[in-house]
Amino acid sequence: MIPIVPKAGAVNPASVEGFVDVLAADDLPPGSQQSVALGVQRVLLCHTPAGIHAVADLCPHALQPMVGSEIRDGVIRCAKHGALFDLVTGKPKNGVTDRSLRVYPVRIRDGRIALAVAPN
Amino acid sequence: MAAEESVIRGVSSAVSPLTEALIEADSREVGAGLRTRGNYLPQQKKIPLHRYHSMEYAALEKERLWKRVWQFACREEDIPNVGDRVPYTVGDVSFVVVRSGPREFRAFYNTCLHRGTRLCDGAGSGASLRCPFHAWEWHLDGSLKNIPSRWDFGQVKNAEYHLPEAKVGTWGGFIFINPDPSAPPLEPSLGVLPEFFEDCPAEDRFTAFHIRKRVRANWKVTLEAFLESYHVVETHSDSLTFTGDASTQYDIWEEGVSHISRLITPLAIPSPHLGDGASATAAVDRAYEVFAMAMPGVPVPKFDPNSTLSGRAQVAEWRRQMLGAGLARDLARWPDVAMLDSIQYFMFPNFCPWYGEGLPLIYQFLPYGTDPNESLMSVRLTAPLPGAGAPRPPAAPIMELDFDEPFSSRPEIGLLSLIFDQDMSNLPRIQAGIRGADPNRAEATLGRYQEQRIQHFHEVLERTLGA
Repeated sequence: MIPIVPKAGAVNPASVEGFVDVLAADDLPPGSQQSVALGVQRVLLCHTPAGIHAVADLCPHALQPMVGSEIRDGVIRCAKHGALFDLVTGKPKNGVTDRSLRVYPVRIRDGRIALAVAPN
Repeated sequence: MAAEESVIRGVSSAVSPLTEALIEADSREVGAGLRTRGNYLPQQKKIPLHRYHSMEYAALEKERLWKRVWQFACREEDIPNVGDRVPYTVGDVSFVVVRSGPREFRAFYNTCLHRGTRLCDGAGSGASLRCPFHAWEWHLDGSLKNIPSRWDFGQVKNAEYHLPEAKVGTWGGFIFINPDPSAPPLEPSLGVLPEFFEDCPAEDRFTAFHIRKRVRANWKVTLEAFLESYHVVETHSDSLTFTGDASTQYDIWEEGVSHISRLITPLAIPSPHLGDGASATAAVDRAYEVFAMAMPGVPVPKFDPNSTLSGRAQVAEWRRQMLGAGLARDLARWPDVAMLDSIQYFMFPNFCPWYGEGLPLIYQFLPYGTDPNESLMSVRLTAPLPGAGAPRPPAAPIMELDFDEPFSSRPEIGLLSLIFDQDMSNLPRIQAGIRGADPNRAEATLGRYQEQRIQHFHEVLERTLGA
């Protein structure tokens, strides 16, 4: 074994139903956002008037964290270089990048927020 | 260096000392190499941007740089058995590096002397070098072995059809070549490297991962993106919580025939950019997490406030134990700085060997084909040879990544793949910006301390090219 070398796939959390519990819903009050770890990735949870969204906390433009970015009318604006993304579809809304922001299906049950981690 | 010039050598914060102070506070004795400071500061000059995209400049580099200097080609472990060979290709000039004897290496122009066919396309093996077109064949020492229909080539005298060779030199398991037949030996070009790596022998390591990435940027743009930690604040902003970017130490050793530089970027401390109120504890915890990513299933420790050790010493001690157990090697004498920090050397023109276990990488930078807007970057992750009499593991095969393939498509290197992708996302943008610059402002302005290695690189390049 070579300890400095990770095993492929070994870092993803397992989940019976494809959803992984990440946070208590009470810890994400309306208007707030929070970056949570999902294996080696980070996911940004945003509580907007339309509900709770989960997107990669990694802007596909320059691969920077998104946390702290402004959200308005269902669109998030990356604080770094101004890329805009639709929070529901992840699709870019301006020309900073043509890549989509990864979105995660969200399930809220028994006061807990869980995310689907299957590739999308 | 002007005697009166006062250079600010990095900044610290209340929770993030300069690298020199961290070395001073190490829990182990730090060897002379890491304590020695450089002897040179280059003159401050702007860098003309045309040299990153001009065909004329690339042609000059081909003739006066790549055909005349010692350059890192490959590792001995890449060709472990007699007859093994790999191509080493710089732009459109290609060599085939061969293990011609148990401890003998040769590098031939990778071109058949019959009608010019390339002899070796990729790693291979055999008792001879044989052209796939008409089977002209050479012995491993480059002497002509056979020509089919020999009767038809009366004009060919065997002695005149020895494969043309480049000079070959080795150090630390690295193979260097120099195509200039009148070149001096390799050793003086290595400068301080043999002395500084004496307590961390590169020959006692093996390539655990090897990625070769095609990049849409000039080879110097790609190289220079990796010679400073100044870019961490924007490009790797998610690493600031545990990376001493602005407290990084830079050194240059300029000795006429050798051009070596080094950076030491400390980890497990917060960036000085985060101010005096940044959390040293969070930096330690995050460093634990980052190092643990390479060891799935291993419990991730936290900073222990009751320990007599500093936070950095705690992480270093955990690394000594984990790595030592995994490799059956005693790492007890290794200083904290060698267990944690990013210690990267650069030898002009294309070679970055890293020191220690913090981030044990090897970089190689090369022009790709004839387009000066493209390059190749080779990244190896190395590990110490296992102890307890275990055999040398084979060198990992090369994983090729095309222009648009991210490092994250190879998840085996964990967090490193995100860091490389962050760098890679910049490079085509830099190249595009350079090409489109206002001709009256087409020059780069370099930081006096943090970008001095780039300044030095260009100083040596200009001298080498005579332009």
